[in-house]
Amino acid sequence: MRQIQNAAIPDTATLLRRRRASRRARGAVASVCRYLFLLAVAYVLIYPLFFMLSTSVKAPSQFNDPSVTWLPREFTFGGFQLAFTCLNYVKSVLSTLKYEIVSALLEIASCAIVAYGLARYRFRGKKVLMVLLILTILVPEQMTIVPKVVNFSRLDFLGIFSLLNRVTGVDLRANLLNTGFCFWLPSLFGVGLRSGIIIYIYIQFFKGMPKELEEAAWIDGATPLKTFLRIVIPSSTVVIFTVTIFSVIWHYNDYYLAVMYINRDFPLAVALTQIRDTLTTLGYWSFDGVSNAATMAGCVLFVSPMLILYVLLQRKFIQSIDKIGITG
Amino acid sequence: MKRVRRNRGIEQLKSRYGVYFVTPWCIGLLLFFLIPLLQSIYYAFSDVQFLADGLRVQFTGLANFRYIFTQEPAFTDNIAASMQSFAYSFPLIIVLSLVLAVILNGRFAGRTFFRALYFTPVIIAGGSVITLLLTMSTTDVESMAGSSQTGSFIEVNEILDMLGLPAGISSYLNLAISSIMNLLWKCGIQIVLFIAGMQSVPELHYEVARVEGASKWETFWFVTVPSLLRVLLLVAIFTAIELMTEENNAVMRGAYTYLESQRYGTGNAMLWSYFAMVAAVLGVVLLFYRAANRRWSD
Repeated sequence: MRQIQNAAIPDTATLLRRRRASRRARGAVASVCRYLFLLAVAYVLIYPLFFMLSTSVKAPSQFNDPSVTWLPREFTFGGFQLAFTCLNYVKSVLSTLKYEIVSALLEIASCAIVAYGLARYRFRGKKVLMVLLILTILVPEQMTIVPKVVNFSRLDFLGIFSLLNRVTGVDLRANLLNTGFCFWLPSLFGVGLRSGIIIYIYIQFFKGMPKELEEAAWIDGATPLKTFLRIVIPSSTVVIFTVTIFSVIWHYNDYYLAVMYINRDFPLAVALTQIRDTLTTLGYWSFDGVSNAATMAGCVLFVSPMLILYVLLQRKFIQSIDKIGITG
Repeated sequence: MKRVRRNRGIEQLKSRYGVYFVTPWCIGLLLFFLIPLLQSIYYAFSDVQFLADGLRVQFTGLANFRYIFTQEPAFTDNIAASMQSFAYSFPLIIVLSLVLAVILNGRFAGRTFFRALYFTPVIIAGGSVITLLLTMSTTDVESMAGSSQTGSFIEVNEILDMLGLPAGISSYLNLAISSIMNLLWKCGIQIVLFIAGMQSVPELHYEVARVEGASKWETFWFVTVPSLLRVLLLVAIFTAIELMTEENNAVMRGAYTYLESQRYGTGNAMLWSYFAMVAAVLGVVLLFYRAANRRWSD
């Protein structure tokens, strides 16, 4: 047995050498292919962005000039001015901050608490809650939006307020539509915009964390809440960072909730969807030079806050993705 | 005996703390998810009107459904259209994002640059901006190339004709190829989730594969994919929901016109019949997942 093995050794060595050489050649080809593929995809991703930038500063006279494809020969910032007024930019940004970003921050905090409870503790009914969690991921926000609008128009708490109304005549049922509470309350209770996915990501991360620190804190007499605030939160900055980016982006882009819950002071995303109509009412033909430039300028104005944030935080975001440890 | 009971006491105490952590969420689930869900089912079967003195809901049975399926011609067309676009978008998004994630997870020069670039759809897509942008930039390409294909730079039609495929398949492929540009923009979160999943596959598994002499292809199929199965499920669900509810989805747009004109009953009936179909599709995905899981876990 041993002899056969010994005899085979030189043969294997040459084989290995040959194999290594062919592997190196194949590796070079593969890496060229990989770069070609990456560049092609990069082109597809960069093209609309570049188109957006170039159209937004293109002078109207250049728009139907076939010789101008990429860089316009004449620049104008008229489009930006027009878009700025059409979007009602300052006001829209403020209402985005007030409605959407605040509820994003609330959601990040409340989901962490829920996820910690689900990831670390065992209690009766937990399986049911996990099934419900999956259900909240599965059921789109749009399915429940109508009853939510109805309920928010006369906020009731399990029928208690309407009972109070019938008995005493005092009507405590407030109309919350057009206020921030429509956005804040669900987020506060961990059932805001796509909270299911956020809780899910948190749970994955918390499950992967070593238990020892928390156990030590427990033995030293820290309450679970204290343990959570002092030990768990500081050591999960990675996942908090990722989740913050997701939640802020989703809220920033949110259109459905805003359209249903409020009817004035729309956030930026809604204003952008309506920019074409706004331009038409201002007397600009759709798809002529001015209107196109203004639309694209509006897109630039919409994207730039998030894009600037992304450029600033990009390195940290990419690193944190490697560390959140989703195992499904 | 006593000690055992005391231990159980600690367990009980701990479980009570667990309940404290999730109680607010349970209230939220009840108030802002479960009750609205039931209400929404009820609304789909009734006539809902906003009056000055409040809401009036009148049970009308299947009238809403009868209306949308027989008297609203756009609805069935919309469903067909969105199912068709789902049929090619869904697999393409999953495959593209998996391939891109595998590449971006590897080591090569310029990885940081490409990663930063490929994650920009996370920032930009998903909102109204990308719809505007893509429709405008592709109509631009179209007018430049003078072809009827939006977003494709090659004459896909001719190549497919040369291959001599059956008409159904070639038109499907044609659609798929011409929409790759839009679909790449929808891969952002998926790539992020896949990479996060791949990073949590223990390095040991890859080492074993290497020692055993597995090729890269084999490593991908026998190490990466099986350990990504659950992430794959998450991504599949996320993608399906995303595709079904995106803003320019035909059915969603139709239903929202009804909701905005306050015909809540009809709009809700549309949403529910649509969602039932989505759920059926997701059920098929889940069955696939089960089958794959059984095959790989042996």
